[in-house]
Amino acid sequence: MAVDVKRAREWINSPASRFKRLQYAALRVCYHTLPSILDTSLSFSGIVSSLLRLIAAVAIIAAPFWTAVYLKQEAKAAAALALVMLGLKFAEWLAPKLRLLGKEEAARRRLQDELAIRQFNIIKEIFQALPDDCFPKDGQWKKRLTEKVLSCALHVAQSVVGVEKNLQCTLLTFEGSGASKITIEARARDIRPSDTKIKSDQTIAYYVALSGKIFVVNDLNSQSIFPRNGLSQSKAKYRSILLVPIVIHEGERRDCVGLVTLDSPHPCEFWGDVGDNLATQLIPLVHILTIVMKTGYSSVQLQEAQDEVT
Amino acid sequence: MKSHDRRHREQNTVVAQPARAEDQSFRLLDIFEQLESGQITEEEAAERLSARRKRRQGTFGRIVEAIAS
Repeated sequence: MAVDVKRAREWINSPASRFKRLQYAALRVCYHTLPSILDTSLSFSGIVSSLLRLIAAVAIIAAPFWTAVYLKQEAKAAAALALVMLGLKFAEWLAPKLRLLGKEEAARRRLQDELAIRQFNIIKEIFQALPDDCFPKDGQWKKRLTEKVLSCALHVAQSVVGVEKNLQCTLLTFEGSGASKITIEARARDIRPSDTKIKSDQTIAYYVALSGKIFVVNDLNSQSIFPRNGLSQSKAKYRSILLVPIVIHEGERRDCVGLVTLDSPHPCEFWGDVGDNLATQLIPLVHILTIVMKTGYSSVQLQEAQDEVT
Repeated sequence: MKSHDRRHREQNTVVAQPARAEDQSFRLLDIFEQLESGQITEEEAAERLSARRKRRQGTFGRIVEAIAS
């Protein structure tokens, strides 16, 4: 399947329409909000616990009918009371949601932003104080460091979206003349193949690198521009992807040497503020990779790989 | 940086588009880039992130996201 370059660029660079945002919101509700409200997981204990919660909620809402039946009174008043109980249950669910719009949430987000900014500055100052030649030349050391950074990024992601989510964090780099190939350099979890090389212009990552901005794929299956297979598998096991380009600045030139990606099997995992918050917290870690790649790691590795390809 | 490192990098990288001037203050990577180069302070960066969030979501977006999250 050949990728339509114009459509691909438009898709990456244009904000989602209002209709699309509502569609993503609906997907988010189906795949994340409802399971979280029902506390459902696909296990025996998860289903039993959900059923018990549901029965308890119905029993509480129907409580006025118990006395009505027992005292043989009219059911009208009981129905009105049951409606009140239903309203209270709804308010119980809505209250934490409304708090998200309040000042407390805004203050929490601001603290998280400030933390990311300070971490970023600390990393920058430490690396600026170190000479380039102080880093070990051993490629294995640098690979281990990269994997540790990716593992850290995965922990950050799990703390934001939930520990039970089956996430993966990957470092992608470019190689070949004109960055014609994209390769999976390292992964946080060793559950999928790495070191795979494919033509870069067939990938979302390539167009995100061109745009130089962070991008979220809310549902891989609902787009028709790119092939739906994964980089290392014939069928992708993920539907949501967060892509953070690793950009090196030199004067006016901005080189994207690779991308850090997070993926999840559920659609809309990184939708809205979740993805934005996560990307902000990941930037200090991505900055470590930027510096590591800037100090020769990537160039050496890519040169070796390039020789194999060409 | 060594010149051969730079040469290899230029061969093996994608040249990213610069942000449009009106977006520069609001793109996440650009805010951190300005922080890195010392063009803005930590406080200014925090202000921009906050302003960016408000601009990105809008009232409609905030309500939809709060309900769906």
